[in-house]
Amino acid sequence: MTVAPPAKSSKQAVVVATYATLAAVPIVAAALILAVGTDLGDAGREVMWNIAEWARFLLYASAAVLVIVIAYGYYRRYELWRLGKPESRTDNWAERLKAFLIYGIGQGRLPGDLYASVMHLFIFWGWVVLFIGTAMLTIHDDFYHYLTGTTYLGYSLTLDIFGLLALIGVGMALVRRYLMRPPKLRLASLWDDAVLLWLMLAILVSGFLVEGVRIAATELEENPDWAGWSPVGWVIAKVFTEAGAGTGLLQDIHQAFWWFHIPAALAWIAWVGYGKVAHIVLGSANIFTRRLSPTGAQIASAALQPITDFKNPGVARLQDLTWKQLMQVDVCVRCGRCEGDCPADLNGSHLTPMGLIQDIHNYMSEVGPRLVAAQRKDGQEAVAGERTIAGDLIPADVIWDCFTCGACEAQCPFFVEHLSFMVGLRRRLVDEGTLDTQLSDTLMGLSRYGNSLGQSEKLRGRWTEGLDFPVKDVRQEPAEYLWFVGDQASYNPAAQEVTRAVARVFNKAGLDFGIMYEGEKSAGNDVRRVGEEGLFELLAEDNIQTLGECQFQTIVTTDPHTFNALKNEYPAYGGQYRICHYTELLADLLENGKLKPARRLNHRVTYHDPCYLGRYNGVFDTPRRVLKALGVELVEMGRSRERSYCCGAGGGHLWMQETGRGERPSENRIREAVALGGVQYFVVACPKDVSMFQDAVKTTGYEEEIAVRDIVDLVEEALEVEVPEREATGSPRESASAMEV
Amino acid sequence: MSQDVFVLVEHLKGQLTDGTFELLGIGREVAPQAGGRLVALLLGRDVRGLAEQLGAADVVLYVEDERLGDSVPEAYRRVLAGLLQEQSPKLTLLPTSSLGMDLAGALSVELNLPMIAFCKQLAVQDGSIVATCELYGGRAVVEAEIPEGPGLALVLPGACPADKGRSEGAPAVEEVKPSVDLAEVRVRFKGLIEPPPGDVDITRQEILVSVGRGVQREENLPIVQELADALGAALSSSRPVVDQQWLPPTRQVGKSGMTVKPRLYLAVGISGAPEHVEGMRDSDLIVAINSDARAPIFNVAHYGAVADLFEVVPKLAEAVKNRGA
Amino acid sequence: MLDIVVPIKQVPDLVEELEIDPSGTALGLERTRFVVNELDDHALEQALLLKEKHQAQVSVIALDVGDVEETLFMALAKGVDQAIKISGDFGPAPDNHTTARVLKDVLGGLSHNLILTGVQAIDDLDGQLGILLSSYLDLPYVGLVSGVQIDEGGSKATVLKELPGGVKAELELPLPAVLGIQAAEQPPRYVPVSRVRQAMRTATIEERSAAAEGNGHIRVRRISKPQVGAGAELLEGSSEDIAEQIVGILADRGILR
Repeated sequence: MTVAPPAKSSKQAVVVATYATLAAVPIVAAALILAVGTDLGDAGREVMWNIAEWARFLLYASAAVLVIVIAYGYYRRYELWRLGKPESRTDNWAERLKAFLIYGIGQGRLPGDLYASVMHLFIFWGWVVLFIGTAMLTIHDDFYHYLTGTTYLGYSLTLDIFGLLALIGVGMALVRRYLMRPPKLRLASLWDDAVLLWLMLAILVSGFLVEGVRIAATELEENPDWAGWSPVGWVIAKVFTEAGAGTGLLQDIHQAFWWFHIPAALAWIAWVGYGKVAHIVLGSANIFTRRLSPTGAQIASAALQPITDFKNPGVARLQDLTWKQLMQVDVCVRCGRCEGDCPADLNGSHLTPMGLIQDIHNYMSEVGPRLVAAQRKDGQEAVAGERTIAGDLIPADVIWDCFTCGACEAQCPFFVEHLSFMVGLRRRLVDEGTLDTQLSDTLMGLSRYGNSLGQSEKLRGRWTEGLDFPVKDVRQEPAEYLWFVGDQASYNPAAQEVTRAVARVFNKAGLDFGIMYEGEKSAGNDVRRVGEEGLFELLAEDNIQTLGECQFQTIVTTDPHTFNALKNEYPAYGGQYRICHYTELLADLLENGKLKPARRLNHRVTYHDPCYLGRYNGVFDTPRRVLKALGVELVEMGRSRERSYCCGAGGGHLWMQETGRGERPSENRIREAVALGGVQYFVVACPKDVSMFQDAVKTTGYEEEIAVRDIVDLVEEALEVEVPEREATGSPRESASAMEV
Repeated sequence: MSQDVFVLVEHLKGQLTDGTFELLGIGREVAPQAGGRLVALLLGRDVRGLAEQLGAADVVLYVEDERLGDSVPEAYRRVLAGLLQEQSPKLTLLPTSSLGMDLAGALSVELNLPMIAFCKQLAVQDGSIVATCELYGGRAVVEAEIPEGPGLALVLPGACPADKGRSEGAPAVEEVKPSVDLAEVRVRFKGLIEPPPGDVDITRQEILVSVGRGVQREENLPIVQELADALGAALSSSRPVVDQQWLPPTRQVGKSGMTVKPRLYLAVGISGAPEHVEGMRDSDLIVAINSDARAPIFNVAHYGAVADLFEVVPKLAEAVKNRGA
Repeated sequence: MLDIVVPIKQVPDLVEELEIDPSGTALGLERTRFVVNELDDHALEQALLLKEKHQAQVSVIALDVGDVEETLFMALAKGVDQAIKISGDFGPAPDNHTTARVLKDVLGGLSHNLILTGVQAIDDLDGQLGILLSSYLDLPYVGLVSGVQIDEGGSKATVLKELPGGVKAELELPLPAVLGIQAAEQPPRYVPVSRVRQAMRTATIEERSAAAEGNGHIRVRRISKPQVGAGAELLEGSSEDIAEQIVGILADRGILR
């Protein structure tokens, strides 16, 4: 198994410390200068010393050409993005600017892999400061002389240190790429990753050499007090003078290094318009145009908009993606962070979020320009080399392997929205009928009976028969809370026991609640995720109509998937509701005293964040508040909250044949929980999780060590509500799969 | 119209099928009710010899023709139509088999004879043909009649123990020349395609653990396999499991699969559609586990448990292993 | 040009409990939910596969019984060229002889050289529809078919007919012909709801009327639900209890080693 990484707090500390160090550099430089005194007033240097005057003009001319070269690079990509469909991402500028500052300038999504974070911070800030330094020098040289005396020395010291940090960063990158070789770096490109990195090393080294040789020739003897303020340059100068280089030789060497350093630096700058370095601009642009709502509210993105073109649904060609999606494939720098928590990757699938983005990127680079040319000439004709994206470029099994858990999106430093691709691709496959028979049977059942278990809708409310109090039919009489029960909780025998526990606890709290019985249909969350958009609409319309006929104030559900659909996706179809997850309701009831625990529970437990509750909707703290109110000892798994690891049922996988060739995600998760040591209960807050993880506990053989319990189960235990004699808890298999009858 | 009851004899590769004896068994009961003889119709290429085994019949009429040798129902239909036209029996029994199903409807139309399908029981009462039929996948029992007769019946496998149709006797054996020209048969036989060999031969197993739709997903098969291993049994299945390609066709029990007679047939998650029951009903001991109390498998099983297979099967495997240890 | 006609039939949906009419001789049709006969769906799939292969024209025809429109729209969404609903005085539950005669009447005005239908249905009390139809039309018939190939000229079909023991017979028959399909060469395709809804908006179901004469001449005396577990001795108790009882039974019979 993959061992869960340690808690991230220590990592965050290191990243913060790195930031503090970086920020301290100019401050310390300034302080030092103040401390040393003011007798260095004439300090300074001749810009472009030892270099012919015409070189200056050549340099400026090159800079002008570079601007054009870079602009052309972006224009070429921009033309490709324009192949895509429109999508609005320019609302709420303030929020977008904030995102850019936090995640762009601030590198806010770094703390993932500690080594890589420090490495990137060093390179990033080193480069930024060196760039600013160069700009400052240009201003000083051409417009306004100000880099003199102490200012110059502080400037010199700061730049030297940041240059050194950049050098360390590049060194770390080389060590990582060539010695550590993490598998996620496997998609390296020769030019964009290898050559680029060596080029950066060459720029830094040659820069220091230019500086060192200049110091050896001009400062070491004449102004030794100044030389120490360029510590790296000073060391190099020392080396050259110790070696006995004379002024003439030093001048020659200096010129050679300079003529190497400048073209190398220019080449790197040109790179900003083309390869990996473009992420400075594209990453920023992508962060600026990111989806501002939580993952769940994806309806805001054009990728999940209802299908309007029935002749051509989903994603077959580049033109079927939006400009935003096309821009995203250009942003990816193959860092591989999206793979880290991807359950499909662990499961031995060929799917990796990075691979998906890169495949489309490479394809767009190859075929896109031809499409642009064809469009200019004669419209939308197909061009040579064009392939169908869904099913050909990206094989169908890869598309189906995604659990839509969103772990990739939560990791991407540039906010690439992988899931928007998945749903579009699946829509195409569904339209073509390229889906497994178990899934198509389930979808048939859903369209016929409104539930994914293929059972009669008349049986939907039958679980209430095991209760000793009646449950209101909210279609007949008003209730404060309308409980949207969901398919699994209604039909799956293993989940039904939890459903009844919820009813008992609600009843105990005196809650005024009711259900819609056979009027309820699947909310359709995962129907949408498998790309069956028409069926989702049908289910949503039916539910919205039935809900419209009921009198209630708030909808409550135990199912995070239902929660997500009702909350984020029904509004677009005219269904606006107040909705809460049962953990939110339980937390309120416990905190306002309507539910009074009779005793504190002494269990040691861990809590699993359901993808569609946590990552999708940001509900992380509420379930923990419930656990706190019960008095249990909560031990967090390494992968918790945004990093929570999918149970393997999402994205319609409960309805498909298992295709995994490796360890099941749920098994990996149970091992993670067991590795915490001494955890009695694996607490879940999703009907699907109960069965998925009970199954995994059995198959991993940890039945003695750990048990899966729904959070309401613990609440009920703490309340000491009389629990009717339980039948042996349903077998997880039955529950995991009772859907494909 | 005569009062005779006719039975179509079915044979494969020179062997009479069990279905034939079942029909004879039923015919043996019904013929006296009708007040006529039990007549076996034996058609084929070289079938005279098989007549000896048809002791249950009063008369065996046989037709031999080169073109009756292959599995071409149309040839049978033409000969039978002529024969039934001439003899006009009260009731003709056909098996619900690949052959019988391709004959009954056509004869019904051609001879304008009413017919009843899915018959589990048959009787002649006051001159009417009365049948009890298993319809709607075994979810309903329909009692239907052909007032007066004559008529045709498609009889479900297992309607009667085959042994009732296996009796000694010396029926009159008469050859009949076909009154029709078989050259007009439009369907042409090209060959037989045998199932790929190499897998377990489930027809030779003493114990079979058989799995059906109730297993729900391929990944759940190991649960059942474990029980089979504990029992030293082979795994067989009903059609849906083979259609899903979870098991090879060689493991399929039933109409288009194998007919098996193990000492123990343990049916797990099999509802027991007639097509399946046909292939296993003669097993010495049938034990069925199914969560649906309405499943027709419980009608054929000796012992049944209305329970969740995922609960019971692992427990059972464990209990068997414990006993072995 | 290959013209394929697929007659499809509605049967009660067994996901629901069967409803029996108070008379006890028929199903309670008002409360019965209908679904397309599963094997007819295979016949349709086979037709669509042949359409893809031979650019055939596919028509689906059905008597106006049950929820037939839904089924016809679904067929249109799957890509059939024509859907025909037949009305007439055959009542809400015509038997197969009647259905076959009605179909024959309609087929008289419809070009056809291959008719594919499910080899049987769960309500075939008076015989299987395909073979009845073939006889009324005097066309050759093969049932229990799980593979169909049409020759280049479209004049004959080579089919695989299932026999017991996993054996298949390869048979050749001239077209036009009727085939009773046991299984299409691939599972019936899924058609997205959006396509069905689109078909409902844009496609039309043709309506024809036909006369129904006579019937299968059989009379239903009684319909009842079978006694549960008639025959089997039912084992009760917890899973452990059941497992122990089964082990006991096997041991008694010397089946356990």
